[in-house]
Amino acid sequence: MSPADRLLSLVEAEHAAVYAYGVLGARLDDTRRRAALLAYDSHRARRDQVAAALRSAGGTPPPPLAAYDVTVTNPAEALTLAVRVEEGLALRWRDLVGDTDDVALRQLGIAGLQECAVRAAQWRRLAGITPATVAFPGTD
Amino acid sequence: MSVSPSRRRLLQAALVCPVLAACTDEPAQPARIDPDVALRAAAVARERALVDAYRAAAGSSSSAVAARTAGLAEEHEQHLAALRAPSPSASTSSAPAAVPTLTQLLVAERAAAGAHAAAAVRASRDLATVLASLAASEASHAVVLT
Repeated sequence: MSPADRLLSLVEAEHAAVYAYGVLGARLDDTRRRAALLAYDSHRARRDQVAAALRSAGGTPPPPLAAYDVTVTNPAEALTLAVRVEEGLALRWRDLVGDTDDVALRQLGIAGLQECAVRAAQWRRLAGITPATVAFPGTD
Repeated sequence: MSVSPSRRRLLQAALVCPVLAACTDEPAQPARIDPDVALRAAAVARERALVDAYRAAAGSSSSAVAARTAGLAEEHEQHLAALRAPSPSASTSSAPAAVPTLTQLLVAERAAAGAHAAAAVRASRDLATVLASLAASEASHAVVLT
């Protein structure tokens, strides 16, 4: 896949992540909601960064969908969803790294992957999932 | 007609010299050297150092330290396997290493995360994805160590 296609896919995925955090944050207690808010802000910032990179590559960033299929009814489901969001995005960031020789895009991909891996570990820890880390973030 | 020893040496030298000259006098041909070789070796050295540090941590009298670090040590062993390098054998450790604190492990993980990330920028695409994943893994270890 071309770097531009990877960036487009990342914008779509970051839109979905921002939406998911908006929904799941509401189901968490104050401490965890603050963590969800930080993640929400971080995903918005990354989305804007990727959209800018896509425009530089001559592409057009897609707008967010009106709604996403996200159902969260309790804190446990919220934590599970947060882990899934980060794991899903980690895959896409790693794909970007492997599909570009551009230094700036490589750095963006690595930074995005690291952030997702750290947050996934934080959410696993809060969800009581052991181990909280994985050996190869961004792989299935 | 037989070739005299001195002449044979001359022929050998003539064959070898252009190669040597290319290596020493013409650094303008770096494309022949695969940068992945050095990047992979450096990553292996970093992972081996971390495996050694965690093995030393396993000897900690604090059961909390040992419990927190056991899983992380295993992940570093997997990283070495992904880099196609064997784990350091326990018997090669000459002197008993000092037991690292969680803070020292954290500092070592962060340094390795940064170094893996920098290497991932310069590596081939295949190695870059491995190094990026290792950089992310080391970064996430901070969550367990803090």
